[in-house]
Amino acid sequence: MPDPTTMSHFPFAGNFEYDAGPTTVPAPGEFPDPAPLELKAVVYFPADTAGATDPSQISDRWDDYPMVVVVHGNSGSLLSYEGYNYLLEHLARNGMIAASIHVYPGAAGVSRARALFKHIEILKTKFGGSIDLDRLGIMGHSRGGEAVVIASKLNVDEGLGYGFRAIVSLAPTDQYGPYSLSGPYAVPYLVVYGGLDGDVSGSWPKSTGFSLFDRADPVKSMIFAERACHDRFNTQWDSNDFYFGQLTAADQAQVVSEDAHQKIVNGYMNAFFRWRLFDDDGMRKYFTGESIPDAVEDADGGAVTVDVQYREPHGLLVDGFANGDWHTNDLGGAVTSSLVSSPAEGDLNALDSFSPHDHTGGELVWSAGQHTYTTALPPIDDDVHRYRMLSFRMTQRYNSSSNPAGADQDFRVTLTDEDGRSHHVDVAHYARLDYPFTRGIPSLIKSSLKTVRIPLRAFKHDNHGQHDVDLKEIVSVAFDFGVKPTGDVEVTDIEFVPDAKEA
Amino acid sequence: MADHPPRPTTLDSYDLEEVDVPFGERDAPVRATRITIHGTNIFMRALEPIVRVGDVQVLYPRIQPDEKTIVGYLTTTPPEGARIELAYRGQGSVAAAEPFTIKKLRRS
Repeated sequence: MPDPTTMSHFPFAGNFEYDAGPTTVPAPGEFPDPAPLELKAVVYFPADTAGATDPSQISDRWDDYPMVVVVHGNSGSLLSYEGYNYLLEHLARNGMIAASIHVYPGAAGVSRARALFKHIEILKTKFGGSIDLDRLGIMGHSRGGEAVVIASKLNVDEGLGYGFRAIVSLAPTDQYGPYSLSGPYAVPYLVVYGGLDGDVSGSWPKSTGFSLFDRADPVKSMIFAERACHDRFNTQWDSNDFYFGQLTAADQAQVVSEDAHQKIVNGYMNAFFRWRLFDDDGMRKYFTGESIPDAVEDADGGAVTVDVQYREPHGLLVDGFANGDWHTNDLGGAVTSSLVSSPAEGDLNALDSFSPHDHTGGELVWSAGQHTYTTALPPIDDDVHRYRMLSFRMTQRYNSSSNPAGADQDFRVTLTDEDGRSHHVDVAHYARLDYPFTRGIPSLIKSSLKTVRIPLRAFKHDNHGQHDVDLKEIVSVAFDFGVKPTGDVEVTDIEFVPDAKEA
Repeated sequence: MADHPPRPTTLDSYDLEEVDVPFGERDAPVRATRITIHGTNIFMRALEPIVRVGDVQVLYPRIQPDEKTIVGYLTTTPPEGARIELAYRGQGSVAAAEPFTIKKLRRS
């Protein structure tokens, strides 16, 4: 499987810029309304020869091409839209028409979203039938990252009919809504966000890509690149977020290079658009946490570390901790525990001010003598054999006295069937439950969930000569935290999932 | 030692001007006071700025691309001597060197 960071299907990428002049877009609730817009953009496209600068020179290898349109974030620079040329060229070399549009400094969410539609219409006139209008992707950075979520809502509410099949938010704000890619607005969604973001730093609850991710319906993935900042994703922005008072000198020294930022963007975004716009299911592994693109992993000598969240549709959700009663899971099954205290259940940020999430969850605190948590499946839901994975999202709680600072946690997960047969696996074999990534200003540290996925076949292998656990009659999922003497974790979305190719 | 030493924001002075502003495409112009604050390192960030004069919130504060100016609108007159402050949500605020006085208003 080629590395999505470095792969190339076309030998050349043509490019050009256009300026279709000034216009306005409606921007209710913003000022001014209507908002001014200058219809400038830079465009890259697949080409067969070097130096192509006209849409008519698009490669004739394919009848049509998917298109990705990028909207930048807020900056004093009038050249922000040129800051993603590295991504546009990479996408073009991988079979996409890719454009980045200009918006004026200060523009808010709705006007940025509406600017996307204006440019899609212009691009349609330039490329004609070479664009496959049923395979559109949009990507936004910062305010633009929230604008692409707004765009999905406008597309549905106003019946605009654009065929969005992939939406990406890069270091997005979550300040204009809350907006969400849920229900009729749901589109396969990727969030990429840096743990050393010096602008959208999470200085108030539910204000980053974590909350946008939480509110979206699956299929969705979030890549939390621990040492990435905000501005180095845009080549026109230098490292300006270093000046905003959110990064200490030690933080700044930890931030990975601009080259590493570009590899994160090129690798994950090309993979995501390849997956969703080309049905290239081989790319899915980068979003489940199974793999990291090689060039990302090797960037800056291995300094890039990522935590991955992934959720797919059509699962059996055992517990999203949404009913407010820890004694009963979302299926109506009984929950029992022997822990230091009763499991806490509710809004994660209310349970833990360090949680960046907009989701319900549970908090489980254990000691050497009290360390089990069991959630039961009602008989009507006990057949899980058609699923392939047990999945849950979990994090160590930051700053808990039960979690040794900097140390990993581990525990065992046990499935038990109706005949009392059970089998356990060690979570550390499938995911690293490491201490939350820390930064210099403590209030900006995040108890950030990551997804743990355990293949159900793991509960059937090496069963010490016993009969296999019967996946057609599972009665409980249990967490035994006795592997470590003390601990404190937050958990949600315990579910069986199909691990489907076409999630 | 940081490669990027802090660049603290300062708010040095401000102007007041009486204007008619169309709030919303279909709305009639509203009589308002435009406040233009001058300073240094007023960064154009992802986060929307919050500007207050005492307890009165400045409407639609907009940092200008020179990152030395911020413009917004008041439809309520703040009390004499109120502090003029810029903040980002969840972060500390910066106050202007001179307090608010309606005597600076330029009527049109």
